[in-house]
Amino acid sequence: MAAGQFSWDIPVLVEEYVFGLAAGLAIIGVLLSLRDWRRFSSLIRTSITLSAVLAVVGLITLVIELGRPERAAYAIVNLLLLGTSVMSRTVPVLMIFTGAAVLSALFWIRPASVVKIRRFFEVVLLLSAFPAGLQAGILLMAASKRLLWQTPILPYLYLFTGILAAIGIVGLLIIRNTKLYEEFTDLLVDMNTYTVVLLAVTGLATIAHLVFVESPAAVINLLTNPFPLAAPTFYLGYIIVGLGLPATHSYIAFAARTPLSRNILLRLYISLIVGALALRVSMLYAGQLF
Amino acid sequence: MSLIPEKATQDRFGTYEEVARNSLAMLFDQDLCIGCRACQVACKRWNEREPLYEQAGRDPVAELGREIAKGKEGYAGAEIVSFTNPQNLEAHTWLTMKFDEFGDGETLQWLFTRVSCMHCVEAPCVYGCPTTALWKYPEGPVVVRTDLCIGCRNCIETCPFDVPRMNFELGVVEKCTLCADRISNKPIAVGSFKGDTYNPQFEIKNIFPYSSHNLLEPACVETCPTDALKWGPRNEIVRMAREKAQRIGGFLYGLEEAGGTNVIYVLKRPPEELGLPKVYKERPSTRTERLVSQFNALGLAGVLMLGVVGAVRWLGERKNRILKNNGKGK
Repeated sequence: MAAGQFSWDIPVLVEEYVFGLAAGLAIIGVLLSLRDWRRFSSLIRTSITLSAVLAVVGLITLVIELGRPERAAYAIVNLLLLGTSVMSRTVPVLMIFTGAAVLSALFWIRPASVVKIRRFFEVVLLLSAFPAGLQAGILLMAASKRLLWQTPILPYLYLFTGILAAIGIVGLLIIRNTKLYEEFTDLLVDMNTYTVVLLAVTGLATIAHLVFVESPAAVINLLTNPFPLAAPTFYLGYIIVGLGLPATHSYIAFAARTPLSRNILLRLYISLIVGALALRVSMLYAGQLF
Repeated sequence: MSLIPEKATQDRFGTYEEVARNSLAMLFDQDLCIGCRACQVACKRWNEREPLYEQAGRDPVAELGREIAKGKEGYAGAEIVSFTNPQNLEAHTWLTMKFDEFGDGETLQWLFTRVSCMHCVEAPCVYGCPTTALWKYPEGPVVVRTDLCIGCRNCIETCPFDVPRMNFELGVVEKCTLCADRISNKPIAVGSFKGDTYNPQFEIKNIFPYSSHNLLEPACVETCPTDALKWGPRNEIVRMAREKAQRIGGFLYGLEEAGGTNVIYVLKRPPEELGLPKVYKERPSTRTERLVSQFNALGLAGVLMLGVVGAVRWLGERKNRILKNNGKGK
């Protein structure tokens, strides 16, 4: 790297974000499928297909951002034969996850045809979605040079925000259509409940992460350094838009036990999607300054 | 259970203790360095590195961010106004000498600090590399095998000394090899003559590889005119470093950093004043294993908590169902 450059830049950010979203969408899609696949079929089909597309995009980004993309297979071969790198332990998980997402999406073209086989791949998808959602955090956690990333909480923070962003996408799918909005009122109420719980857990995990970082200077840098948009993205994008706004909105909806107006829900779901991205932007760039 | 498979541990390269005990090491003695940069030239020449004509690919926003985070490059937040040239490592510069000026009363003191790979006894970059392109040799060097490198830059993000650099033209990472090609070139000695005039045969024997007298030293060590760079078995180098540091009231760097390195510095000022990175003291594997076990424990606790919440909820619903059924029965 030449002086002043970031070794992990936009492609890594894209990969972290799309895998987080893909994992979240897969988790929600499969859970809906296990709950009542006939009733939620339109939502499941869209979320699992979107998850598969995002996973493929993530995998392609991961390969393209390498200095020598044509040698990407070396990493897989080495992992299977020698397994020397902690940071690439999650590579097979990403591959299994992507494969399961693509196969499940294919089965959802005609979901009633082979239910048992589809179920099998959905369970594989669900089981691989959790490590796939944790993957970006593990990659950063294992980078022993960067003190801001050095806590065991960071992978979970990435998983939770990925699921929250996926809730945002599924919510958008529902509220964009009046018929779906009316049909899935109970689902929206449930989603609000889970959003409140997840936001609370994510907020606590964020505080715990910042407290347990070995170097206070690295945390102060995250909170104060305006370049390259680390602190503003963290405060505005993650804390206010990503956690604060949705927490307020979903708490109101949770307390009222009815879904909010579509306009408010639209803002809530968009802010969840923005929040996950903002966390990744601020962590990736502020982390590389220390 | 650890995420690190057994075969990935230090044992692949010889145990940590074996490498620490048996490997070769370099001593940089700041007290003797005159800043002639002969080592830089020797490094470029032996490794056929191109000269740096201009500073390439600077990102002003990232530089500004880094400046706010860590202060300007140089010591104690002071801007570089010295003769450090090249100012930092890059793909073709594997070694640079950092020039620092210190005002002491009315006198000016120059101190020259080696900036290059420290060749950790247990190298974090080796653990970060997904293709084993980075490899720790039992003799001491940590080498990038560029034919295996995929350019993922994991090593850049794991190296606490900020050493590996991306060569964007080749798409691979490059750094100092500790002249592995020289030090592994074990000299041979011709023994007794065995054959005859028509079929001459000599007994060839390898000289003991760890003898510092018979090995090719790294190019920078060989060229150093003041013996500020020394080369030898690590045990001996550690002993010399301790002795010299004690004698001049100096500071040691590399003895404990990242669990110990194969390049050890004797410095005249504290490392942080010379702009050397403050590095954790534990072995990288210990550090990573600790984080991974904490990560696993957190996950397990989360699953258990979810299980308990789920069980409580299920029991509650079951109780309600039974009560409801009993009510209906009545």
